[in-house]
Amino acid sequence: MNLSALSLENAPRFWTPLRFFISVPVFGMLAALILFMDGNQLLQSRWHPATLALTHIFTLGYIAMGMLGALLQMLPVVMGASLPRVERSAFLMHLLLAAGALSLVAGFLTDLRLLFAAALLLLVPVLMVFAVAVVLAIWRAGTAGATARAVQIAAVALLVTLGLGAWLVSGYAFEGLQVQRSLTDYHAAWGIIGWILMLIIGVSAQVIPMFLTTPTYPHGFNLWLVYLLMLMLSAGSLLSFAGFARTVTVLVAVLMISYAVVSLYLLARRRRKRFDVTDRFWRLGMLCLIGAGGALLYDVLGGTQMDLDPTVLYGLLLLAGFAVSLINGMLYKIVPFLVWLNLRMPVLKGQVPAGTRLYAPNIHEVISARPMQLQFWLHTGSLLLLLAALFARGLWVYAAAALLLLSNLLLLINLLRAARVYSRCCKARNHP
Amino acid sequence: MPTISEFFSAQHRSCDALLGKMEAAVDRDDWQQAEILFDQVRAETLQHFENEEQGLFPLFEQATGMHQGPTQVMRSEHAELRELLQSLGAAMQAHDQNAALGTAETFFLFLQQHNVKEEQVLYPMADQALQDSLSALSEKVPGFAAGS
Repeated sequence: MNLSALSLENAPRFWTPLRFFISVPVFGMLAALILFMDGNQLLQSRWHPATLALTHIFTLGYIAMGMLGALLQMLPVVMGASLPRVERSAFLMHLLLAAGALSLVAGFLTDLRLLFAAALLLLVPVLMVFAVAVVLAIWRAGTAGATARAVQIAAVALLVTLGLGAWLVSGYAFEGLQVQRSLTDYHAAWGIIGWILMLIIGVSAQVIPMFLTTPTYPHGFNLWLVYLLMLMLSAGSLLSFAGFARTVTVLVAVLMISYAVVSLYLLARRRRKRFDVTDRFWRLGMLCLIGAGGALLYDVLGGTQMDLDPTVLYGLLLLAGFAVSLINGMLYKIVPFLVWLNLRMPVLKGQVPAGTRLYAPNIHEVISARPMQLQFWLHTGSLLLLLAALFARGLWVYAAAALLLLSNLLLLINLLRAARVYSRCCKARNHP
Repeated sequence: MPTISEFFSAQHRSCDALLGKMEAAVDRDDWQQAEILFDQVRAETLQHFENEEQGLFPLFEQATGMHQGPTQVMRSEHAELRELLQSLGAAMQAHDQNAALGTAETFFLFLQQHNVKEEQVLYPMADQALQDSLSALSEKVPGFAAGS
């Protein structure tokens, strides 16, 4: 492996991942606006155009945006896998991903072919290059760790998701092209269970014990989960005989619930007992994952029909509940640390004489605890109201949208504050 | 005798646990206890750095011929961690709760990313490269032969 890559000097500069992180709550606010626009209609069926728009605001604008930003930071430092020309490529990736997500969402809302074509043109290259670069960079670095392997497998799932998604979008973009809409199920499964869940399972093996001082996951647990999920996804996509899909669904639900239960067990055994908002976000996310697994089991094992589209419930729990909570929580760990780290970089790189005093605020001074906690409760409230809107209809959805908007606005303010602390310190150094 | 990974990783965990207890003491304003725990954190951390810089790293460099590689990166991160320990000590002496908790968190997070790199990359490599030098290592590192 390339050992010199381990050095923090290979971490990208401050603004590189930050562009991604600051975009995350902006897309969160857009999600709230779509909820305001289409209200109840959108929660009735996953085929409603506004529902498709909302789903992709979350998956591309929020989740992929956060994950790409974090991986660009993490791959070089933790896995020794440096990405070629990371600064410039990250700038371009961010631009393409943001513009692509917006085009796709606008396409769903307006049904204009041109917008779908633009989305294809923007999203396919960026996500393909990213996924391939991740697979190759880890492979070249020769990192043997379980996390690296899991990230690699998740990146393959991203490629499958992208391939299916691109084909489905082509059906909207090009007249006369017949696309089997049933492929949507596979696209969603590979995206949510493949890319998102497998990536989180893999990365959490490292970040939960590290950032939240829990005991480690049982040896090999996370990687085996990823292998099994990958097996289920592949088997479920390629084979079809009576009752097989049911079996696969039950197994996937059991794997989801096992992962969440083990994670909650570990989080309950943190060695540092101080209140930590990231810990709360992870616990909330894991509860949503258990909820999603439970709903899947209820549905497949023949629970009474509910008066709602169950896939909308899964989507809500897995995307807005599970993935969004974890990413939100991680932003509060990563961003303050990056502010501090980048302010200390001249010392770490040996660019200033040893012993030079170089002020950097401590991590608690970058974003204060109270607004982060308030934002956690706004986020939790928006999730509960979304669930209420799904089951009870009526005006709940507007209350949910209002809280979602406030929650993401506060997240944006918190992150911008952190960025301001960084720029002010930099300015103060240049003009003492 | 333990493996290098086992012995040095166990020291990381022990230090994490002490730091957690120290934070809890600071949190409840029990400065007497907090200062005792801080002294232990500092002593354990500095001893661990010593074990690596005087014992493990030179043997690793000798065995692999890598003098400017990962060990150099780890040394510079140790320097940063020593500096953070100093700031933490100052905050503890001043009984400044906010500064103590904020600096402890900063120290902790930087320590964690440092530990991950050692545990995932450096120690496994050292386990490979130093198979025949474990007795030499145990002369430099107190407690290594006994595995504690």
